[in-house]
Amino acid sequence: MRNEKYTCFLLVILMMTFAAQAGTIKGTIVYEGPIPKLKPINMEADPICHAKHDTPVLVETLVLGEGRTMANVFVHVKNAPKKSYETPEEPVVISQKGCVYTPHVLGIMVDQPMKIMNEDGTLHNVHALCKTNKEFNVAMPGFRKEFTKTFKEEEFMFLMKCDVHPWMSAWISVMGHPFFDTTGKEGTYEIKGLPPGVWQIEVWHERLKTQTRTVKIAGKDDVQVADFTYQHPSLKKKAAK
Amino acid sequence: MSEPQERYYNIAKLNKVFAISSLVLLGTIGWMLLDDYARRWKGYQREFRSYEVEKTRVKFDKEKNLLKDQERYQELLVEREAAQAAYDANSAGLVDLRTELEAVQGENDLLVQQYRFTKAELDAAKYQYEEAKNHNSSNLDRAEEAFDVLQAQEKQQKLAVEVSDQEVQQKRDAFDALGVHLKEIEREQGRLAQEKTLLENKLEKIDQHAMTLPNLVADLVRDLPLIDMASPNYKIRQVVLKDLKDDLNFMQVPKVERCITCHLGIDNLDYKDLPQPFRTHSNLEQYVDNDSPHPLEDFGCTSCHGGRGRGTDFVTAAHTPSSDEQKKEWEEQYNWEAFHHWDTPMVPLQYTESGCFKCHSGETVIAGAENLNLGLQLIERAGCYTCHEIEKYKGWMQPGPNLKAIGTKVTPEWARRWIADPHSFRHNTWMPAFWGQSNNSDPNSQARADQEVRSIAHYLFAASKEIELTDIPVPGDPVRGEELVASVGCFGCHKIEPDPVVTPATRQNLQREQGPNLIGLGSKTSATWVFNWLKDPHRFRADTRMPNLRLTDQEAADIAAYLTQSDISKRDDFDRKPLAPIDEAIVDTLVTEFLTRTMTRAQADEQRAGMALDDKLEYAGQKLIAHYGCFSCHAIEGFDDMKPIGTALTQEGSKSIHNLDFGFIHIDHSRQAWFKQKLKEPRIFDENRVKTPGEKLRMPNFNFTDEEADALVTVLLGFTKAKPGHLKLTGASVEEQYIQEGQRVVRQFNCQGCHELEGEGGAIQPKVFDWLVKYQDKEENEADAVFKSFSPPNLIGEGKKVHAQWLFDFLHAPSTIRPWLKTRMPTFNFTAAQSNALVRYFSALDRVDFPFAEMVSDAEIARDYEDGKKLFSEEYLACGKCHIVGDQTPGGSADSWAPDFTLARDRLKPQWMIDWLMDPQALLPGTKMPGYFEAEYFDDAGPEDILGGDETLQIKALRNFILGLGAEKGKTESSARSDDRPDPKQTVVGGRVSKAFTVPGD
Repeated sequence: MRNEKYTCFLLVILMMTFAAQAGTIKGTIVYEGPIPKLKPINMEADPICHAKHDTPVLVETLVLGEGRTMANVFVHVKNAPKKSYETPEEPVVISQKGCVYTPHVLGIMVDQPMKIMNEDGTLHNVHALCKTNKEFNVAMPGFRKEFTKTFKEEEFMFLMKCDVHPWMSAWISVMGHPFFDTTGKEGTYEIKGLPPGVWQIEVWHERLKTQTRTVKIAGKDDVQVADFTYQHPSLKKKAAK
Repeated sequence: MSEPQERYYNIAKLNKVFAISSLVLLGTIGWMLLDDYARRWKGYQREFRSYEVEKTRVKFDKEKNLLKDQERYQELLVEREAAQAAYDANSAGLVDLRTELEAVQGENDLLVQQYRFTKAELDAAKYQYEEAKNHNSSNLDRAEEAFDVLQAQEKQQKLAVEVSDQEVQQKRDAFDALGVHLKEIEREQGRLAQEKTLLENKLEKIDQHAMTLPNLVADLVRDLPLIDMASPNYKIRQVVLKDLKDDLNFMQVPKVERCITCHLGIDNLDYKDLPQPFRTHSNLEQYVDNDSPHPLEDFGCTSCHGGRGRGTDFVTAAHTPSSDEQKKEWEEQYNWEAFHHWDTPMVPLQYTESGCFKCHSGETVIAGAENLNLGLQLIERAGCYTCHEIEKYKGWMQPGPNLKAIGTKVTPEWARRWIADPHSFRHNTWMPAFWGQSNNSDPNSQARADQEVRSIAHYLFAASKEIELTDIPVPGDPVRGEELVASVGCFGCHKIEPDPVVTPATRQNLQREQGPNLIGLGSKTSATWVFNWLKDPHRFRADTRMPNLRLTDQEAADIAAYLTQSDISKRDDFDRKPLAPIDEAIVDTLVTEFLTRTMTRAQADEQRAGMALDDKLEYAGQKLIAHYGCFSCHAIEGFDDMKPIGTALTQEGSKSIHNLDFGFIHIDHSRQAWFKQKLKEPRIFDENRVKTPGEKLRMPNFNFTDEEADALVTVLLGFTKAKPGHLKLTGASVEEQYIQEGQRVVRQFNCQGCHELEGEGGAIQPKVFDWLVKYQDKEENEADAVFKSFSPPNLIGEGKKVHAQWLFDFLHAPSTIRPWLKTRMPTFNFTAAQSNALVRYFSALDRVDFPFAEMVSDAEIARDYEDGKKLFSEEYLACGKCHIVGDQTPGGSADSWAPDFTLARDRLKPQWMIDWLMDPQALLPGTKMPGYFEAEYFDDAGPEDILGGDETLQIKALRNFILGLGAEKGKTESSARSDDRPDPKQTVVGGRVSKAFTVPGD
């Protein structure tokens, strides 16, 4: 994933005449407040899924790393320059392994291929509930190991789910530019190759919604840090339930 | 000499008078001619012509530039020059060739002629030979000889002609070949420049700067007075509509429409930004255009818009302004005034959709006429058709509840408060207000109103019959009840809105007002009544629209508890409203008034004196119910088969303005103004009139908003006498009739409150979303993605999908198909006619044969059993992962299950199953059923080791295997029945119902 994105950044940088002036925005996202007790997923409905895990699998609504860093936060430049960018040929890969989508949150560019793998050997179906793009719902019986799709339009965050295993869900964002990243467990992101300007950095989390900050890239090799903290009252309410 | 004749006048003076008056006369004739000549529409045509020239020139320039930039065209120019040069250079050879060709052609002509002669002779010889042979004539030999000679000659000559033909052809080809290249280039050039040439020709015709001198002169002269009778540029343009007639008392003449004399750009998109009258008509795909369903040549203008088609100036065309501002503007600009004595002036723009109703009156929803559709649905919801006869709604059910057993439901006190002012109990009720209106709010009228209401309530309760209510067997839980109300589907027809919410009047909103806003039921009635009603609404009224949700006792008790014992159930302020004491004097007046309608005052007094107070109240109540027409909306004992009390509205839109009583109210004297005023304030025309209580206007007040009133006015204006020719009416074919019949049932039972049908409806969906968020712990973004799959199914393609017999049975006794849905298909107690109408409707919508569909033979099912079973299995397509098969349920909760395959044989049409397996998303967008055989991957979709990897065969085998699952079930069922055990289908389905509807975690 990472490598592909770097390749794509590289291409963009090569394309731009003022490539030398490109800047970087990076940061860490942490969580504050009580940590809710997350429900383990009951996979007994499909014994194949159940057998793939020794320990209970938790729902991925809040995944924290050491020091409460947040995974699965999508970061993008909201006011990215509108122009056509090179579409990476390398596909974004989503695996279905142990009846869980990996990654759980991802960004992909318009027309970039999305390769979906089925490593479980059981029936999955890949149901993308997009609205701007054409909704699709493709069956992946055990013998079908992979298939590829592309999205034709920009569309921010829609759900992809498996109707056979209702706990499986992934959030996808189809972007018109390459200035986005998703945090891993360490909670960090990095957006490279930004031309000088004032950029709105938006972070998105499936439950805790969005936050925006403005960051200025002054010029050559400027590296700016924009950290975010999520703290949401509704989380406390959910935790109490 | 004779004396000069004696004259009493002076010749010289007289000559002067004659001279002056003849000059004046000449001047007048000139003026007359000029006035006749200078028509306003000519000015418009001149103005339009300049726009036309301008547009054409712009287009022409553009086209020219395009050609300039077009490589191929530029290449052609060069090529053409070269080809022309080559052709010219060859011209000497050309002359030789032509001479040769002519010579050969001459020879050929001669040969052909000879051949034809010989052939004629041969025919004659043949006849003689046959004749001789038949009669055994002595000439036989000679005849035979002649025939043989000629036959040989003919053969020889035919050969010569063929050879010569070939030679001619060769020469001609050679001749043609010389110019062929040039011609080809010219043809391609012409094709590329076609648009340009057309525009150029047009410019030459209309643009004075582009004309040749003689043309210019002709152009200037042809419009001069008197000469312009020949072929003027500026002339009246018209269409004659053969199918549509104007009714000129005792005579029907074809409609003639001259609107296009001024509305010159009406059918051409080039003029969409021009000012009126030149602007293009909106939505040419639907109207005016020749390829549209409503071409100008067939429909004209006035059949939709009204107005006077023959009129050629602003006033005589009977234009109507759409607002006061426009009226003022028109008066200044065009000296506009209403065109008197024309029955059908133009309909103001905002009501134009009324024109659609003339032809589309049978349809329930008229595509594109949103205002009209809203108006029609408002009529249904408000129940206008019960007091006012409306052809379209003949036979529709009463909109109000049955009051024949009112005593079991409410108290007389509650009823009196309600009747007097229904909106004070339920802010958005559809029960209109009869009292507290502009013509009965003075103190005297109010005192009278109290006693009127009391009398009506008295009659209702005196006539009320008892319905036995069973006690609630289990205690109800309001909290569970609230969840049930949110999940089982009540919100498809009902709202629960304690306080007014400003909602725009939309049809979807009206769908959720099919039933009452369920607030204040604790004030209105008892939990026991609600329980009994929920358990079996049809016991209270067989044709009620409230369906039976087949609730268990516990569920019904919970809902009853929620509706009558929670916060939403109280109406304390209403319960405390004071009730006036009885005033016998007023009751006496009421009784006397009614009695004296049929007897003398003395007789009336005598009769009244003999009546007890209860009798008087009952008598007055009965008469008042008849007076106000309560029986129109409600079933009331003693009022069956009464005639409606209101004006018939079927032709209200054609009513003469002189038949509308404007009273002393200063509004526009137009139908639309009167209708709107009447709808907004029904009693207003009584203002300043002197009337007895019995004479007063009595139409009740529905509190329509402006938006709603406008929609209703649109419909009323569409209720016209004039129906266009038969050819134009929709609903002529059997399919259309089936569809319209079905739509009526769909509307009356509000199917679209839950289901999406014909692309609209599903009004409950936002409430399903709310339920997912509130009770299923879903985040809003998640709920937004899945709420459709938890909503009642979209019925798109139902006719293609299910067997008619199955659908009929299902409507009669619904069973669970989608175990993950909490909303349940209720039992509506449809009559056979209604069910049939629905089944036919779905078939007609999908254009499938009705009623029966093709079958798959048992042999075919048996043949595919093994392959199908393999495909079905866990190792391959794993259908059982989601689908129920008889008693076998998949793992997990019902949320992820899919319909039972044993239902498929009876339910699904075999061809539909194939289509569904091929591409489920195409048939039902958003379905949870994934595509196994998507077109994109079709050849790789199926496993290679079954049926030789042929996907088409695999799909068929799978379908047949699934059909077989239903057959197996059928067998077990029939054997079980013969044992006289309970029907296993029922137990299985019943068992599943209770399982499916268990709230997870309960």
